[in-house]
Amino acid sequence: MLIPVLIGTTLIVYCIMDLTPGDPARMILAETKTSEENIEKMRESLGLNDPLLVRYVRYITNLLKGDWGISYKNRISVLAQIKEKLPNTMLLAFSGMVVAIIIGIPIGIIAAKKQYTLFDNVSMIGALIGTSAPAFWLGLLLVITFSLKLKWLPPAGMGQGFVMKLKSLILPALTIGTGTAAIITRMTRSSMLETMRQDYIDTARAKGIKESLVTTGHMLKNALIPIVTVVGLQFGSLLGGSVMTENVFSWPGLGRFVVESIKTKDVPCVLGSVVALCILFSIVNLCVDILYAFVDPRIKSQYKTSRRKHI
Amino acid sequence: MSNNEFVNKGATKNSGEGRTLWEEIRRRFKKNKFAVVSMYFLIFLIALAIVTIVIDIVDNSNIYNNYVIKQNLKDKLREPEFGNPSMIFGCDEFGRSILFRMIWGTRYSLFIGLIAVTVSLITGGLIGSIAGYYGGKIDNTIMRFMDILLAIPYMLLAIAIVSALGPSLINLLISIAIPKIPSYARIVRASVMSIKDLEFIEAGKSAGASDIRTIFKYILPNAMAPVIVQATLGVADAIISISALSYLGLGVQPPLPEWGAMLSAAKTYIRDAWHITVIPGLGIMFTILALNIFGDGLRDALDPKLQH
Repeated sequence: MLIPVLIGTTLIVYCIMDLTPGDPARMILAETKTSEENIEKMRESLGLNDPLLVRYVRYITNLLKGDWGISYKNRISVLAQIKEKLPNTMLLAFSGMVVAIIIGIPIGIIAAKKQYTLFDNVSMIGALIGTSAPAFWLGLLLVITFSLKLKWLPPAGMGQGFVMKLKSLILPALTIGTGTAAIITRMTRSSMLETMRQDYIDTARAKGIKESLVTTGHMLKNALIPIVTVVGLQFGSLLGGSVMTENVFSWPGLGRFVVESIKTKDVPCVLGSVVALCILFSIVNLCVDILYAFVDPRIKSQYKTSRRKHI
Repeated sequence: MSNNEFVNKGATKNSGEGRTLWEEIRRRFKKNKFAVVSMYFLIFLIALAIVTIVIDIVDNSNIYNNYVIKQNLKDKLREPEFGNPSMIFGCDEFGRSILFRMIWGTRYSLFIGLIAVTVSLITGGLIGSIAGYYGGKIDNTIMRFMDILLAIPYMLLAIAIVSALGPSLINLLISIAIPKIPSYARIVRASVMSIKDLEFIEAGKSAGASDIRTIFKYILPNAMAPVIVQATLGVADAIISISALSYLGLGVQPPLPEWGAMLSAAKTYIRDAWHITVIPGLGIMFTILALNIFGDGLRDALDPKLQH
């Protein structure tokens, strides 16, 4: 599935970028004030005069060979720029997910255990607000509160050194994680409520197991499958959401890079970042599928029994 | 209402209480107080947008030019004052009343969001019903293409389209509508596939109904419930995307009073004035909140099976 998706996405983005007004050759040579003749030569050397499909096929073959092209703007290899920025985006997305899980799952569990109490109502209203507030606005609010009023954390950029980096990571991670936290809270709550009513929970209680152990060992373990699904699905939207968050916080990641590249019509950079994001997305989906086997032993046993049959 | 005749008759028979399906839905919806309040809030917003448009037409955009667009630098970044109605939200970076700009800004988010969802709903619905109805190779080809569109992060595709076409209201609408087509196509396809093999479709066909008539008259009206819910929640998504694109400077351009564009301008003054950041965002948040609650209420009313 990865290969057709990559071909399709690159083709769509390639066509869209081709429609954009503006001539790359002219943009590269804009500062040098060169003659029309030189621009024409540049166009020829970049192969811009070939038909769209020829250029596209050439791009794809180069991509597979590991040559991701060179930025029109600063003549730096796209692959090198992506290699520099991808870890930052991954760091942001993963910390956002960690924040979302740390907030979402405990609140969801407590809300389910205390259904219809004040805590349940407040956390459900909170979750609703969390899904409704636009992430970039939330980021601005966090900046106002924690950077400008309280002066605890830096408002933008990525700090150098471990402590500073961690400090500058907190606000973007909270921003990107809040929406996901809200969704995970709701999912955890409904999934827990579902498993609570099962007979095996009564059995566990009847055996005299401590209530805390019933909650974590029996309820949560069985409620985890839909939660893992949601976590996996949300990773995609986290990667997409990194576009807005990185712009709000001037975070040096792929999301900010791609917006800047689109604005300057730097086609190789745009395509490279989109390809990188799509690959990352597919890898995450694969990881979630593998994680299922750990969460749900039934899936693992399916594989085992089928192997046994073959022997 | 002729399209709903079939639905009505079917429901009356099943419920056996003499209520039509729509009466039943309305009754269930009214039970959810939050959803009703959200509905009135949304109606209020739409009314506000229509009233401001009418005012602009009647007085030749007089109020619009003098209070919403005209700069008044001596009131720059004026803090909110609760005694003064027009200053209740304070002034923005050019001394314009934020209250007026918020009210005149309702039309952008709401109407672009509504139109964008309608456009993608109709396109996606057509694609989905063709794929679902005919199945086989047509279905496969269409849906694989839709899968590819779905694999690109939504914001990324919207940004790419709007930057290719150039920032303007119409292009913003297109860039919001296109990335949403595949999700509607999927929902409609699933709905159509669950209905197309039922007996009454067969009966219609054997009575000589053409494919187009079958799809539009028998299948689509019965496949609408999940689609309506998804569309309501889709408007919320669209409004967030509109404000996000405007925030990046790719959507509605200043000085037009779109809420996201107001936030974009506010970012420069974030150190000097908190209110010009907080208030437009609250506007967006409450609108989205109302749409989400309304959508959830609608889903529960349309499909009580989903309620645990």
